[in-house]
Amino acid sequence: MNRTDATVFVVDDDPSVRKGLLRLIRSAGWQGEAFASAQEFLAQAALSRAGCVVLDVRMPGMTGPELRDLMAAQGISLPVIFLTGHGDIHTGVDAMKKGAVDFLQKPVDDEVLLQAIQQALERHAAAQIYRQELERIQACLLSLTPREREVMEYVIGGWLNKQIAAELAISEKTVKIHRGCVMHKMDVHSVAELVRQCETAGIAPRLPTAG
Amino acid sequence: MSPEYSAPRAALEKRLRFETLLADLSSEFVNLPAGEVDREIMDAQRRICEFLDLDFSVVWQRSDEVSDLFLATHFYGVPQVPQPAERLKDEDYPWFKQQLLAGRIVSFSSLEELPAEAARDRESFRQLGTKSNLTLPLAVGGASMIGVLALNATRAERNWPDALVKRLQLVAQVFTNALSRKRVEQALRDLADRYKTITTTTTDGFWEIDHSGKIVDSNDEAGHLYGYSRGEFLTKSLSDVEANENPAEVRAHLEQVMAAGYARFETRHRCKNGHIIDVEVSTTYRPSSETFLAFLRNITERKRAEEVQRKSEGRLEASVELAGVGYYEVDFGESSSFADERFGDICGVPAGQQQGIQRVEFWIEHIHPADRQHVLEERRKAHAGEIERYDVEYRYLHPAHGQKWIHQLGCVATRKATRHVIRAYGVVSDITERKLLSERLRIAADEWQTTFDSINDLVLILDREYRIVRVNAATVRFLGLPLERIVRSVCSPLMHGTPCTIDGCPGQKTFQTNLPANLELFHADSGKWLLVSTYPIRDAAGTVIGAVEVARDISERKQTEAELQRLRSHLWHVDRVAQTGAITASLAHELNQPLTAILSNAQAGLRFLDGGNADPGEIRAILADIVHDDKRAGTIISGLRTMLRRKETPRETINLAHTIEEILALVHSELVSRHVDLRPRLEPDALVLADKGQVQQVMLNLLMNAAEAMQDQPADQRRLELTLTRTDTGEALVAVRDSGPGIPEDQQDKLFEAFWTTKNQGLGIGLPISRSIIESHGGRLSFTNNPDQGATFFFTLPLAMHADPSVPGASSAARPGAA
Repeated sequence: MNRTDATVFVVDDDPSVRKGLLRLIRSAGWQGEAFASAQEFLAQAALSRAGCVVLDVRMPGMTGPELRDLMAAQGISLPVIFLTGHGDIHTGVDAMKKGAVDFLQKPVDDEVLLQAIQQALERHAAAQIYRQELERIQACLLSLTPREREVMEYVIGGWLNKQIAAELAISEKTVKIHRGCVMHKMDVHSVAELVRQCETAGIAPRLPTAG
Repeated sequence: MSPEYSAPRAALEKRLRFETLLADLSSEFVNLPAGEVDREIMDAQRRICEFLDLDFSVVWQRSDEVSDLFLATHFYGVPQVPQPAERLKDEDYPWFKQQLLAGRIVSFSSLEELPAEAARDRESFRQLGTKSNLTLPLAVGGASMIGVLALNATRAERNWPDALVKRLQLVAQVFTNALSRKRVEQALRDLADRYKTITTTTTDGFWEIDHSGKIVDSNDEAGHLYGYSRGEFLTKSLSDVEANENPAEVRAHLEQVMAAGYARFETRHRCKNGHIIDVEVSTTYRPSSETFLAFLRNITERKRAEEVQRKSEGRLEASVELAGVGYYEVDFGESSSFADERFGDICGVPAGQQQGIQRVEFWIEHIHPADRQHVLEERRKAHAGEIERYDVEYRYLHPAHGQKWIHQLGCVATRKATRHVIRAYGVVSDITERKLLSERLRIAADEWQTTFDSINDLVLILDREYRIVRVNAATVRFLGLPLERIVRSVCSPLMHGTPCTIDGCPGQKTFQTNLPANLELFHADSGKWLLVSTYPIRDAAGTVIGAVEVARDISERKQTEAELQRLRSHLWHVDRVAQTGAITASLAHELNQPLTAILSNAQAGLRFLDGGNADPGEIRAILADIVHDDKRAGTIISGLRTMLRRKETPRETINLAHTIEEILALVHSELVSRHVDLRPRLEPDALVLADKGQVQQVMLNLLMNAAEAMQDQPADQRRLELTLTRTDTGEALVAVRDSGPGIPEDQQDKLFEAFWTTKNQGLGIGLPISRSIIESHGGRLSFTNNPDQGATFFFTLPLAMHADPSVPGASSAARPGAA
């Protein structure tokens, strides 16, 4: 991961805090950018860049958690680290449940924060890869015909060709053809791979009925 | 040469000469005026003595007063002969005197001729030098002897022949006649003189009128009485002056005089000018001359005086009757007494004149035994002349009416020379009613006094010069001074130790405005607080003539008030702490911000330094930021300390905008957490005299209330407007306007009630305390529902009159370390 590529976004209404945090981030070698409010962040941040967000919980206007929810709703996938000045367990638990990287107390120790940022950035990077893969899979999926799609679902469900043919009332041979196309279009070399890809894409296998 | 009677021619001549002498003497004395009698007698004595060659002659006259006393009235003697004694002494001439008194002639030629019983006389004569003596009585017609003529020879003895004696008796007779006549004339002259004296010196008129009524004589007074001159008057007669219109009376007077020889009566006469006067006539009648002699006195004045007296007596009687006074007289001399009707009523005795003095005894008996001694003692003093009159009040047991109170004035009218009282008189009046009234009055006064003295408050009565007229017992106790030192002193030094009235003196205010006034005053001497109230005292005309000053000891109340204030302050403190406590979490958050910044900055700095490429400028900037953030934290801490401090601080001139900003810094996090959008607009120059912590307490209260009011509003509709302005009326006005639901009507009255709250937590004393705080600063705190939405709570504080130069105006009010 190219560190200089990643940007740590700081959103906190307190200017001193922003200043301090930015310095700390820079001292760790990352790039930092600070915003005084959620609105400012949404409006101005280059959200496509790789990075993460250090988010103050209590802010006037939109709070940290609210911003995170909004980001999630808008599909902004930057990982979030929450900073709070007032130790609200409820908020923290809630935040963690919703996928925050961490929920930290102010005043925050540099090691703790930087570690969280590192974790966030890695997660982000990982997430990026994952997303790319998913996009690819989805593109492949899109290229499938409906029948092909159907057959795939049976295949990843562990159905034998014979069984699929019987289920769909088509010949086994046809099934085999479809299966070949799927393997090809999905760019996989094994059923296991296909299963993994479908899992990733969230395609549900058709499960065999009893008997 | 001794006379020789035997020589005939010589004797005849002698005899002739003698007769001539006698004849001369006789004729000389015939028409002798009385005044020359004495001289002539002595001259005659001389001529006789010379003729007869005798040595001395004495005329002894009997005294008018003492009939057996002889006084020498005439004397002639030859030069060597001594004067005789004035009077003929009994002890020297007893026999001689006896002879004279018997009217006998005494003659002796020699002393031996004197009889044996005249031994004494003989001796006296011898001493005198008399050898021979002839003494002839001077008697008027054989009747009373008026004296004697004595002829004496001292050089030689001599004979007294009868013929000579007889001739000398003639001389004696002449002398007698002369002397008698002189006496009579003297008597007549005396009488005339007396008459004249009486008639001229009398102030009364005097006249003599004859039987026809003509005035034959009068004195000047008579004329004057009627307005005539004397000359004029003598031409008048009785009819000219008689003015009595009752002829019967006139006649009666006349008859009375003529019958009795004397009468006195009153009648009326007419004066020259026609005036009628009352006259008292005192007249005698002389039947011999048929003339009336009368003394006349103008009694018009007297009559008028009598009339006046009668009238005044009448008036006196009337007034005595009107006064309800009873009158009495006691005549000890005649042993009688008089009491009028009123006296009879009052004392229960019959009225009128009464013989005997039983009334007096009755009266004494009925005096109340307890008072009797005193009354009788006073009466005794008056009777003894020790006092002019006696004035007593006593209880009297009226036989029918029971006990009454009597006031008596008693007096002594006349006394005998022996100081024994003859007449006494006096007046009595029934004063039962008055006594009862004065008794009731005394009781009322006692009750008043008791009440007055039982009042615990100090009561003073002052005159307009602030002098103390009267005080009650409580005042005497309080001041701890003897009464004499209090009364008539000016009140100022006693009440507040200054020589004159102090500022706000309620007495002064009352005198100026004629209305009640009061003042709370600390009395240094006793260490007590007094509430002094004054009320005007008016006279009948309504003029304020003084004041009643009531001072109540309010030390306890003051103490209670002080305690109350202490408790209140404590409560305020508790509330302040509680309110601060309520935002502790936010405060902690607020502190966290600078702390976070400091930590991050410092750790970043360390990292830079560890990295080996630290830029000194950067480090410097980091350190500067750390300092800034530290101070910021310090401000919050000090703000917190202000809110939490226990100690009362005195009020100072503070910049209200800075004060508000401080508390805003403290609540910032809280408001943020509540999503409250705060918009402050603060006028920078409002200075007030206030307790900063208390003002911040009020702000905190209002801000928190506003935030909580809006908590049910959507998050983006929680607007809080905070304004600070200065009004035209010299006040600072702070308004906190929220966008909540406003105050419902049924809750508006209860807002400022203690312990009333709609919140789940809190005591509900925030607003009442905030109001108390603001009011104690001289401001008002209230609220109003906004026309659009929500409520506005506002308060005012009086702007400080003088800007305190020590208070920074526009610069930051954050003074680190300021309490």
